[in-house]
Amino acid sequence: MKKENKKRIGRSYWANIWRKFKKNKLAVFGLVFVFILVFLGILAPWLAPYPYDEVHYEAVWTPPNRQFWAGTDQLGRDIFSRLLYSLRNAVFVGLGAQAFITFIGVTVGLTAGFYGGTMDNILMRIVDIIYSFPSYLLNIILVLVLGRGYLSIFIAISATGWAGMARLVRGQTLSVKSRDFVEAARASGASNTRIMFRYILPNIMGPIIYAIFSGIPGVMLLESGLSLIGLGVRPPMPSWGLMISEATGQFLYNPYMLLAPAGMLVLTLLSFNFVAFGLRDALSARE
Amino acid sequence: MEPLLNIEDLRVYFYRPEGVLRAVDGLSYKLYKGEVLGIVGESGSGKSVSVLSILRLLPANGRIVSGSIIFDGKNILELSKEELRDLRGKEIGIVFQDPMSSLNPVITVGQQVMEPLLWHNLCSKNEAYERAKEMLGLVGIPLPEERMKEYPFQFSGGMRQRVMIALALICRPKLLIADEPTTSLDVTIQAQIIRLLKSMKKEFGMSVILITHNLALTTNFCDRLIIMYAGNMMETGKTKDILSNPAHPYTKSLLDAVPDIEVEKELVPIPGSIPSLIDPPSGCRFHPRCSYTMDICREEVPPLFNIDTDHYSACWLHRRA
Repeated sequence: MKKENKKRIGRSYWANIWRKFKKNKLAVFGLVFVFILVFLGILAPWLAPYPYDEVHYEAVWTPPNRQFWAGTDQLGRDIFSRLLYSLRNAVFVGLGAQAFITFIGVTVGLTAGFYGGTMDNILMRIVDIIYSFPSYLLNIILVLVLGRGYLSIFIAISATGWAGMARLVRGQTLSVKSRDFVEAARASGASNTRIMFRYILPNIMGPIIYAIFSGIPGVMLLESGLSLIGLGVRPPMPSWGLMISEATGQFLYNPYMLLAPAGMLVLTLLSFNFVAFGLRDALSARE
Repeated sequence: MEPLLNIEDLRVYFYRPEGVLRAVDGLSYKLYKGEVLGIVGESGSGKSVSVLSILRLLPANGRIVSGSIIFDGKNILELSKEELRDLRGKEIGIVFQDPMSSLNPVITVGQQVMEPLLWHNLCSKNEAYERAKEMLGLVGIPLPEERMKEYPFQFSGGMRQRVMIALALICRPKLLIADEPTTSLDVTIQAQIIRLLKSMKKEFGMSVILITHNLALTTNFCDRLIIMYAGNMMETGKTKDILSNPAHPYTKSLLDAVPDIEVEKELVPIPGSIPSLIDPPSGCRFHPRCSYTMDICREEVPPLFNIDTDHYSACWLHRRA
């Protein structure tokens, strides 16, 4: 009896989800890979064998060898180092912009869903307006207006990306709000703030986390897309999109120049998506 | 003696697209300290709405149109948001029908039982923990200290209802409202929960309102009964008077519909179904289903006729010509 009891303790909501998540090998693999990528990205300045802008005129267009692990580009810059720095940019933009998106989206969605009425109407119409704009175009315009750089990419992507998160959170809030335990909490004297942050938010964390993970690849892709047309980070700072755009003309002669950044981009996006799918499955399987 | 709760001419209407639904239409009753009142009626008779009004917990389209609710000298309909919050949980505790969904699935049971104490600033966190532990033990949860660390889904229905009762009583309220606390539980557990409510009543001495559609549950617990039908009070009186000597035809038919294991009798269902409260029947609302209907029943709403000491029935049959 005692032993059985001990075993049951700690099997919380999250412990259950983790247990189901662990069963999905691909998702666990993705998660490990995501961790490695994030660490590589953060540690890029220390791990990269060369500075990202160091040119080696004696070795332009060198295929991968022992000195340059992923070869060099048209200026003789080490592609491996540039890949690491691009990863760093992608991770910073991906996580940073997604953090902004989550913050704005959750605040707006929770407020709209919880208070309803006029507040809901006003906030959701704003969301509709943002949703109805072609977001890529809006991103381009914003970057052009704000000037190239990290901060403008952050702002541009966050300004257009939070609408989806807000809709999701609002919908989830509406469904949790009508559940009995919210009424019960109100009946025992909980204030609105307590109900929102202790009763509603924790119960919709699952879908939010799924949305965060499945949104990160999109944000990274957007950043690459902006860099591809020359609106991303300022050169010589590398970005996968920029590297891909530089490599396209060389594809037939030096395919490694294209394959390396494209491969990294695909791997990164896939691993985030695998984690997201694993989370979705673990979250949708209810007790 | 001053009543703890005094409800007068309460009218609660719901504004729906298809019309105004009169869920409670002119209900008055008093509840004294330490008294146990049973409110009995079919689903949709307005019994839940009448008690949710006491806590002002009606859905957005429900409005208290008229009447007054005086609780412990305070007019509930005039309280501010903050004063209401102070009342809920601290002075009035409520146990809902479905214990499976009334607990927050992501917070441990112990935390949830402690929270009302902390919300109302009644004691420190450590003391709240001790009091929650003690209360969970009182409501009959074995190994309360260990089980406090568990989550609601690790509890059975009956155990969850015990937790709900602990949660409702943790601040020592003056009034406990039990809104069909046994409806979603097994029959064997039902008796346990009623017994628990009874012993809690003995322990803390609060007043209790028990809402149920099962007359059998009221017999050993309630001092007084109110029989409700379609938003109106049909009969009220001491439990034993009503059960042994029902005056209203509706009460009689309710009793005919209760199975009794010792007496072999035929269960008689009440013909028809509860009327639409958007367009209720004229006169006595029970007249379309009543087997004693007279002309006056269709025309005029019956007042409460005095049958006996503290025993009233709203039926024209009692009119002394």
